[in-house]
Amino acid sequence: VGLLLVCILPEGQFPGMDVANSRTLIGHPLAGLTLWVRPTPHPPTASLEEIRAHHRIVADAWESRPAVLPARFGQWFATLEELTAALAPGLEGHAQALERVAGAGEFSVRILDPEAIAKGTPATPASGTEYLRAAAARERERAEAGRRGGGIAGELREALGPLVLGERVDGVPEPPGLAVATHLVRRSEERAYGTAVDRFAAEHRALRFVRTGPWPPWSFTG
Amino acid sequence: MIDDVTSDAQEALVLSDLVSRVLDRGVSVVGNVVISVAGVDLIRLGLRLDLWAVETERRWSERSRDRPLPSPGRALPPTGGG
Repeated sequence: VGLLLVCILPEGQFPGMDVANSRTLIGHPLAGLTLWVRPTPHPPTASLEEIRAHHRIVADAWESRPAVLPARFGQWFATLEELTAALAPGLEGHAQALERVAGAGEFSVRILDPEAIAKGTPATPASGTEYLRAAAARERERAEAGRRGGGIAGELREALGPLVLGERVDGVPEPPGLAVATHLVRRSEERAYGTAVDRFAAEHRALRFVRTGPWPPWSFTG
Repeated sequence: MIDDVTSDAQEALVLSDLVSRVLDRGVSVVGNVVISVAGVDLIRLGLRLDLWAVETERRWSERSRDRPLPSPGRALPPTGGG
């Protein structure tokens, strides 16, 4: 029977009835960590249902245990030996990451500029030259949007101060998106974080800010 | 902060965030994992969802251009337990 890696927890944290699909989960101790795996004879056949089920286990663990490192979906191993061998080089890093994310979750803030829509380039060019010009213009707009988004995300990060334990900023491929800032936030400070983000948004009324979360710390496992 | 986006847009944004997290983030010990369902690459599906969500946002923004901006509001709660 093969094993599908779901998440990594501190030592002694085994799956219980407080976690979705607990009857199909096994906790395997490894060098001060506990690996949560699902025995399954084949690599997973992905579907939205499977993705949701994977996330549900991670989310339940995150809600009920001191710390959890979510594992990317689809990491299947034929044997326990293969799994432990794959994890061996990163064991110390995983232990440090668990300490970093303990008691914290993450939020994503999409930074949108509604006015960016008006600058769109023609979708159906009349010639090859026009196509290339449009493509170059789109690339310039994308780069400019990325710079703006990064700048605004930096301002947001500064405004949030110590409420943010960690940050990741990603670009958005198309307008009106400028960037997505993902913040690691203590669970005890979620309300203060939300208030601070809303205050920042109110001070930047030409832009839109859309927040999702809190999520388990998917973006801060490294 | 947007507090009156359509429920479809909310669902799309949350689903997009969920899919992108589960497929593209978290501990990775085996490098990139190729995942497909009936020939549909779910990573592409996630991107399409993201673009669809942004497109919904765009339509919402166009509709709201002539009215006052909404006041700061609550966050969008993720579904699926997150």
